[in-house]
Amino acid sequence: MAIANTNIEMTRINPLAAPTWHRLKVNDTPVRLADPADVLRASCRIEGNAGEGYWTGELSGIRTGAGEAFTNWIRNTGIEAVRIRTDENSAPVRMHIAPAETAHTAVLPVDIIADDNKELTVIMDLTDGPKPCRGALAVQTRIKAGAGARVKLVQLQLTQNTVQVYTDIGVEAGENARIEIVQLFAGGADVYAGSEITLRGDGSSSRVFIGYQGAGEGKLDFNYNAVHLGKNTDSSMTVNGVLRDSAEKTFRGTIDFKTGSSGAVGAETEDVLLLGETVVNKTVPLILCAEEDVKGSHGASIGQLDEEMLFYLGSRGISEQKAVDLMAGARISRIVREIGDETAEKMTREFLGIDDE
Amino acid sequence: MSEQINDTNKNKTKNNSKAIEKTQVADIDRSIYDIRNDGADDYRFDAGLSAEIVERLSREKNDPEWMREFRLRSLEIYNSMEVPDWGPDISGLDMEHIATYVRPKNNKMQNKWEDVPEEIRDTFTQLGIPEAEHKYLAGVGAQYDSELVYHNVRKEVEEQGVVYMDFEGALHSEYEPMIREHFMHLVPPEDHKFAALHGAVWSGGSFVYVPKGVSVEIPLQSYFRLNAKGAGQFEHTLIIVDEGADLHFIEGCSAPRYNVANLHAGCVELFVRKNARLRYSTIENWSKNMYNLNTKRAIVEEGGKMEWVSGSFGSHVSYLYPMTILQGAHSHMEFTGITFAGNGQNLDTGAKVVHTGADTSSYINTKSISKDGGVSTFRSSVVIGRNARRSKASVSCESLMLDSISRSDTIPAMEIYTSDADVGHEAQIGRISDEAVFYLMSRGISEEEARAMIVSGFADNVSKELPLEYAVEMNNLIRLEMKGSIG
Repeated sequence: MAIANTNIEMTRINPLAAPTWHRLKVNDTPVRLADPADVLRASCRIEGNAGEGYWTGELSGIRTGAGEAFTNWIRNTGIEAVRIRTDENSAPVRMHIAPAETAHTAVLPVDIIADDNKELTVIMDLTDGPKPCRGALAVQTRIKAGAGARVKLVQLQLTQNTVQVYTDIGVEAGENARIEIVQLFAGGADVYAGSEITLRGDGSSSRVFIGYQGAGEGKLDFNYNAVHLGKNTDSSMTVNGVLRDSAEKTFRGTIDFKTGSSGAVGAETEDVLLLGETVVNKTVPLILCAEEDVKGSHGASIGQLDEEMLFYLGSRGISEQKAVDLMAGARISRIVREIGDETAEKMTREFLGIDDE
Repeated sequence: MSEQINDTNKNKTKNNSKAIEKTQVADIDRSIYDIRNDGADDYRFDAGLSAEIVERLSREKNDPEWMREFRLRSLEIYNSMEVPDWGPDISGLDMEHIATYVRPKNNKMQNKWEDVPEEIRDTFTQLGIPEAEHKYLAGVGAQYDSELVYHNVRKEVEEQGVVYMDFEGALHSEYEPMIREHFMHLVPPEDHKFAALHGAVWSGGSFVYVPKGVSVEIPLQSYFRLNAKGAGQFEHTLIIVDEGADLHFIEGCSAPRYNVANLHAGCVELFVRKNARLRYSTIENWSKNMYNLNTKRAIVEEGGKMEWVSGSFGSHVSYLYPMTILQGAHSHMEFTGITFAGNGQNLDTGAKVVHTGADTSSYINTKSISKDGGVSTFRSSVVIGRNARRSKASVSCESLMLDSISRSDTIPAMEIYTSDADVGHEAQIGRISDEAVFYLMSRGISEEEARAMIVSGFADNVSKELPLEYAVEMNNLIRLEMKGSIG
């Protein structure tokens, strides 16, 4: 079944932080989002200390990676955010999110507040739900981390039948706040993921781990920004991916050192394994810098498996196909290990069919 | 007597000023780039761009009919295209205030420096061109505003069958069919607005053909000087290095500073045939009122090698991304560049490479420096096509920020359409290490000197690739830019 309202105009999401040649088609991504009036609230089951109406503020001022047009679309749906706030309970909050059964497009905004010096872990799994709906699922998460707060967000895209998945994140980190984001995109849907982490407070830091695999004719489109405003801020982005068949991926990753972010450090690495003859990989890693006293670096490695490694594994009696699967699994496992939650890791490994190492 | 000796020495110093500057960096003076002639007697078109002006230029140049039509078609394309919206602001560039053609008086092209009009010859002498020609070049072309004023090639090079001509001369020679076959085929006017502008109003430039198997042992050089105020320079360079041949071509450019916008929209098309090698070196030192919207492109056949060495120091705004198409199997490209953006400059530079042949390889290695509010952007694009199996590409860029009022951005893009490729990318941004400055100061070197030394060292990727004299000149430019960087 096709997504409804295909006559709606294209919306441009995931804008690159500084545009480049239009011919490359990476400055943003046009998508056809459903008419907000036809969008329903996604199904969401929460385990842990969260509750709607627990607090009444909203975090709409926090910028996200998918950009303003996407935020406006979410806002126009009129769907209220699930609100989560730290309490004395340190157990992770688990959110099981799935498309609404009857809707072609389902949306869930999530607002998270971590109070000063508090810790919070939120684990979201995005699945097809009990009755698969061949529609779209969009989750927009905003996080406000107070001074000294520690927030970990784990997002696992484990859908198989949903046609499109949108995940959009916006974070604002206070002084010495620590943010960790782990995202795993298992494929099976076109994925559009944005994230913008604003390190506003001095000494704040972020670590982002992204694992993805694309297969068939699947599309993966990412836009990740680390914005350094505070002094001595620290960001890292580690991205591991595997592309098979005719999968197509665009990864935009930006480290943005604003004036005043002296002493800041930003690092980004992407490692892409190309396994399909007709894959398309686009990598656009930016460093924007308006401050002298900073250190920024990015590195990307894109290609096939090392022939020597394949030869070595072959000499140990492992077939080439098995060796390729092993190595591809290892790259994703590297990110799965960052989940840091036994239940979620097990669920992910089972879904992906990769062994626990 | 002793005064006479001193005077003689002074004259020697003057006559050999360039050579001395190249060994005594402390003596360098920016004024050599700022020499300007008032141009009162120059013949120039009215500012602006119209079909009438293009027609007039075509008549002036005695173009063949196909070229006249090409110019007019390019103008239409220019008028239909938008200015780029992704790079530095060029709203200060108004074509209504740019004269597209300026011809110095007595502009007849010469092949002896003594026949070149005195004030123009003096300019080139102070820039060190005749001396460089004498010492280490196989041929020189010198363009002043819109026209070549001097062109010469060594006899022994000519005897090898190497053709090095002014572009317009070539267009009216037996090479016209070759020009027609190649002119703006690599950079079609549809490519972007300023390529179209070039197609409409180009004048001057050089044509080089190196026959099969010929290795030109010492470099050829073209030097482009834009003296006129409020004018544009649109020279066209076309180089064909035939099978198995080898050439090093050096391009230099400069202009005096004015308080109105000048424009450079040249075009360079390079054809590197099977197993040939071409090195194209540029030290660009346009004045800081210049909009440098230049386009350079090379296509490389099987086993060919293209090497770019590029230093960007001047201009108010630059858009410059030499592009290489690795069409033939086993072809190779290397780009080595440095950009130094100082006060009032926004230099958007980098490189592009498209791998279409199998087993091709490319290496882009750039450095950029930002200082005194200057903006430096490294922008690149690496494309590995579906048939470019077993190709390898590597991009490395490093940026140095010298203060917090400047800006340095890195905007690379990689597009890969086959699984059978290996692409690497690394970028770093940072500042001068306090420890290194402290160490040098502890050895009796001033802080300014220490920082200049460190920046020169940072730029060694380019200076190592240049002929010695040019490397020294580049270091002089860096030292000039670094003057007064403390306090």
